[in-house]
Amino acid sequence: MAYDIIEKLKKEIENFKHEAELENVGIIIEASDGIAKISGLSNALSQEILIIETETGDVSCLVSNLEESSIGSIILGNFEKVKIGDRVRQTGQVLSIEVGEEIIGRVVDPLGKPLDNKGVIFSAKSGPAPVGKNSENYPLEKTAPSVVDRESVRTPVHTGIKAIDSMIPIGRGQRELIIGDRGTGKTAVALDTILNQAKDAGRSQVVCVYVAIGQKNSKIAKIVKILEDAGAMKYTVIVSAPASAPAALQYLAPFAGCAIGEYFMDKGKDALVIYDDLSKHAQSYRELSLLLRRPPGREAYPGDIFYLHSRLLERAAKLSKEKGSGSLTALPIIETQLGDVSAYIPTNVISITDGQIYLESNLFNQGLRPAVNVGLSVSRVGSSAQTKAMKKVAGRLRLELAQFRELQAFVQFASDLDENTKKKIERGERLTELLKQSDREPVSFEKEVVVLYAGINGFMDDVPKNRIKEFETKFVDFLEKMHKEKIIGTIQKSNELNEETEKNLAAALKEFKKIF
Amino acid sequence: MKYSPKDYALALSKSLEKSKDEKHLISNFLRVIRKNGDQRKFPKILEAFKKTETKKNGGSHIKVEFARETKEGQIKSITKQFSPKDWVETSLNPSLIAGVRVTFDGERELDNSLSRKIHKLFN
Repeated sequence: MAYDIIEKLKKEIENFKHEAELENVGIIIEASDGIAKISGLSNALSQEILIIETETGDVSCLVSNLEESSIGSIILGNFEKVKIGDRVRQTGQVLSIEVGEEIIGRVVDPLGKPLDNKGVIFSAKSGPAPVGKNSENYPLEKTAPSVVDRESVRTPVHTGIKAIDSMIPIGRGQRELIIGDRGTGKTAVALDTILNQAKDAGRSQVVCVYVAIGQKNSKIAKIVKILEDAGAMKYTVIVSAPASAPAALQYLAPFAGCAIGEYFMDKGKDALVIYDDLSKHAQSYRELSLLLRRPPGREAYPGDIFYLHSRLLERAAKLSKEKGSGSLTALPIIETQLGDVSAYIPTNVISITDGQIYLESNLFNQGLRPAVNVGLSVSRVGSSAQTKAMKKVAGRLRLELAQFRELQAFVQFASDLDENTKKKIERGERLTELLKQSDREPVSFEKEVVVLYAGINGFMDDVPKNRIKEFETKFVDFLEKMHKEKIIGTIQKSNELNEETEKNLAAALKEFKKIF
Repeated sequence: MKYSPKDYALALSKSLEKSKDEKHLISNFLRVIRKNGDQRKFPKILEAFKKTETKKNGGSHIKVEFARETKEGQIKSITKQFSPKDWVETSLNPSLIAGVRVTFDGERELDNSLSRKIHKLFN
């Protein structure tokens, strides 16, 4: 074996031909904190990958600033290896990531290198592009699909969270922001959405990409474990740029996640990308920009911080039939400080996205989980993607809850109120109780419909508030056992709650109430 | 305000174009450097000035690096290959292991050294 290796190497050395040719070259004149300044290479392109030849091997860097007499670049590898005087060469390539079906179920870094100790991602059979057939190189920076390539959103992405699916629906191709203070359950909403994709029968499987930016390694490990245990890694890719990763990788992570999502979108599939979170992404970009000596603006963020997020989120789209009908849904997450949504980054991202799910710490502390503030949350395009069955129950639910919120101030004086107001308050309290949901327990769409139907049609009015959860669980169980085909199956297949199903459902509710 | 060596070099080059008394101008230039406390930058200023003047005259800054000590005759024969307008600088660089490396204006290079060959073989 050793003999074979040596013989092979000998042949390779013997056949090696090198002819000196005139090459473009640059020299490192400054290197610090992941940033390198290069003199020479006056014909380098913006966003081009350069190779720094260090004493201990090659390190790549990304052209970021093209100045009059030098180039400002972001080092993508170990920046401690880079020294002043090291030579830099051009590659003529822009930053890209190798993507294919085999990437599903893997944890990768923003450059596409595996981080999960499961070996190489693309087998020798598939090989790297362009040799392989199963993988392609996708550029991290790409122009968003044009207006003519797009179609309006019409298929839902069910999160499995009753409050969201009914009142703030999300469509495939939409960009819905999840915003809230730390510890309000933003990641939990995103994770539930991923978990629920396995339950959403009747629609094509959504490929999920979870991008962790500046998160703790322990949190990422926990997320991987949750997804693995639930069997969700079968359709999920995790792009990890933890807090320990250099700012350059944290800056590139969402673009890498987006490129992975775009691959599946271009293949005619539906993809969902979660950027957790863009606040940390903005901070990493601020760090790089300040080190590159770009002028600071508001909150010391550079002037192009809006464009950074808008060009990323614009890549989420629902493609037209001619383009394969694929979609890329984006769920960016923003962490606010003390509920301040008027800070620079939150307002920027709010204005870019098609709506927001606002999670409030007050609601969270009151025990209302998910802590969605229904009044401040909106979905601008999702309602057109909502199923008919959900629309039927959701319209009334929104109204009932709005009325309840208006009357909520009077709850303390409940004894002095007229019967009608009292009933409305009682109903509102029960509906609020019904919308409570533990994390990692997403409910499939058809079950959400039947439960919400029971709530808004007064079938729970006489159930004690502390038994609402029990009622919900037992009723769903009852339907599964007794009326699976007639009610649940029909709603799942037709996405509608027609008169006959509604009648059957009402009858089933009456039947169940007798035994509850 | 801090001036870069390139700024000093350009200023000197432009002033020399108009000046009739070069000696007086250069002594003033040195005084300005001392006044600004930029004496440390002097070697770099000189290099930048040489580059500026070479470029102005239509020449190139050529840096020839040898891996080993080379005879004077050999160096001369190499430098003769270039135009008199060029500024040819020769130096010894043992990290090349063997061979020669020629760099033009710090941008383009012809690397015929052994270290480059080894690097290409393993990368």
